[in-house]
Amino acid sequence: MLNFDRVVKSFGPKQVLNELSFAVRPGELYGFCGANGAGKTTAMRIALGVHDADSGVVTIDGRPIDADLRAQIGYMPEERGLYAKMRPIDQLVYLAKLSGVRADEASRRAAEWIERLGVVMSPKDPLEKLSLGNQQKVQLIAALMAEPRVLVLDEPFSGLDPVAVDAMADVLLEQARNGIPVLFSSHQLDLVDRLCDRIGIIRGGRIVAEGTVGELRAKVAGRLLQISLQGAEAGWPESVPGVRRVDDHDGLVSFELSDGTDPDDVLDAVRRLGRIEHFGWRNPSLSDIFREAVTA
Amino acid sequence: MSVDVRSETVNVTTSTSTTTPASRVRASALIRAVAGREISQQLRNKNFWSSLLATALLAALSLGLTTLLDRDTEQPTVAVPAGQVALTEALRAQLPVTELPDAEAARSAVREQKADVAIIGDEIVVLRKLPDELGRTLADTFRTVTYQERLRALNAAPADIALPAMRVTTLDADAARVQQRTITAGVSVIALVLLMFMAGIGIAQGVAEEKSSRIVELLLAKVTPRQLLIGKILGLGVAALVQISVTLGLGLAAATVAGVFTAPAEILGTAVNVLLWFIPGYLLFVTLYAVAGSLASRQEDVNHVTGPVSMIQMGTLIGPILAITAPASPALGVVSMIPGLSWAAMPVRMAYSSVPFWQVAVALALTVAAVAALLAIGSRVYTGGLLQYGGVIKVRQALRAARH
Repeated sequence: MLNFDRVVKSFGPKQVLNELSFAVRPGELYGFCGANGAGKTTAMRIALGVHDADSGVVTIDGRPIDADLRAQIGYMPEERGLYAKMRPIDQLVYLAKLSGVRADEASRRAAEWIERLGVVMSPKDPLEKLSLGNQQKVQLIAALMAEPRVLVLDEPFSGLDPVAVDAMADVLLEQARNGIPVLFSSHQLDLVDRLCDRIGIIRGGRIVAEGTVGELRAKVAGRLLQISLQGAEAGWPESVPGVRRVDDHDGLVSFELSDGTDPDDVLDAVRRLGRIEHFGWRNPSLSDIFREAVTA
Repeated sequence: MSVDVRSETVNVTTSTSTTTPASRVRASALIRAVAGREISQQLRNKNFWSSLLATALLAALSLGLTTLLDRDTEQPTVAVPAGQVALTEALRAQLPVTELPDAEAARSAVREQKADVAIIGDEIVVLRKLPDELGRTLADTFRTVTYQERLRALNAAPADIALPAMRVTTLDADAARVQQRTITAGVSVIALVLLMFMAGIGIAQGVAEEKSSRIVELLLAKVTPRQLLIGKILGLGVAALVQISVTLGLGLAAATVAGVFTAPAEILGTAVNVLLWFIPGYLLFVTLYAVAGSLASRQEDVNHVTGPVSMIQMGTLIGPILAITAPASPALGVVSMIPGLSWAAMPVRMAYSSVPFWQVAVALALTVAAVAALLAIGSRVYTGGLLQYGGVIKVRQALRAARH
């Protein structure tokens, strides 16, 4: 289990992590979501020892992360970190050697992963000659080379085409099913929804919502109304009291109920504005959950 | 505070768990892995090889040129017609002389450039212009012979006529060898400074590349900054030393085969001495370059951060230049003792004259101390610089970051 326990980090006067606590269980894909600047990357870098925490601790199976444990984390940094002029297989072997894997074993693993993930390249090409998607696959392989105990991946899916997304998702699911805690951050909420066992939403350096997608949905359920009117004046959504307009899809307008607003009052109000075509609860999407969590 | 103690453990730079034998073994394996990558990348780098080849050629060429220019120009040959016995005899003592049947044959020898000059009686025949020195020699010889013949005509005794020969005493018999040694050392050191300059920029760029592409985040999860720095310096050092030895060896061999050196064994000794002094010099500068690279956030900043290092390095040229132009000056003695300058000055000074042992020892000790101090401070700056971003990081900023 990867555990963040009340981790605090400031850069100068700016507090980035504010007693951040959450846990990724063995065999679990944990989606780490949050707006830009919420502290996702900083949290991951602290786990990897890139930054040190001001206070608090990150543990693996109860042990604070030290140099030995750190070498057993598979890490994929947000800004891709590989040598542009070095051949992919050479750098995979190099990074594995730094994690204590023997050179021949490392070459074997690298070749296997390159085959399995379908990295398109000629063996002599330096990394910079590969397409971005293929570079990212190499980056993932780099994280997997040492058969890590924990995977920490910062935006692993950004910039991938749908086929590559599926290939990477398969690998992450497989790793998790083998009992490895997998922590990954992503802005692609549909992916997080599809893949993750649990989600943590970070805001202002702390987790503001956490749970399975179902649990989070249940929290937001009963707060979103979908209404469609016929014969109403343009701009009618602005004149509905006690709600906040969220979005509008072809006249089907979603509203978030303000605290204490009775849905019956909303029904009465919109009835006066036009003929009701549709009035009902909206099944919250992950975007709704996310929006709710980061704007609340 | 228990919280503080625990927070130490997530900090890679303050990890103190590297004292057990097992982790020491792992540390040396990590350093070897880092060094191995640097070596293989260097040996695969075509630019480095071509620049090295160019410097070696330059060194061999300048060695050859200096020696060729130094060599006595070939002696002119003199053609004389038969029958001028006394004059021919006297000329033979000084120049190669060809005796031909008659005056016409002597003339055509000059015309056909078989001889540089023909002496027919009191006439000097040249093709275009008579060189001054040759002219003086010929005139002196002619005058002496003429006087001797007149004295003989006045019935002077042969013993009175004969001139005593002058003796030459060489006070510094080794001058040529010393000069060759000094020039070899000087040129080698200058070539090494230029090489280090190019390699240094490459090293700084490599460090900045690791930093700007965030590879360093992956690396620091596996190795400490100090291990990374030491591995880099060792790897690049071994690669550089191998390449330099190979090319310097080839250059010296070529120069020896071409007959440039009168005492090849001595020259080899000088070259080895230059290489030995190069090692601490290299450690000093490569550390400076690596540390400078860690202060850049982007590749574009590399030239900016390496500027001061390059300037210091250009300063090391003082040593070899002084040693070649004014080897006896006391300034050279001072320069050859200063760490950072001594590696370039001392081997050239040692090639020129015998340096007191204590001076060599003190210069070496000072250099080693400087290397140790620089590695200690440099690895702190490097540690702090690696994970600081935003333009060019100040040294003090990096040191502060490393303290955390």
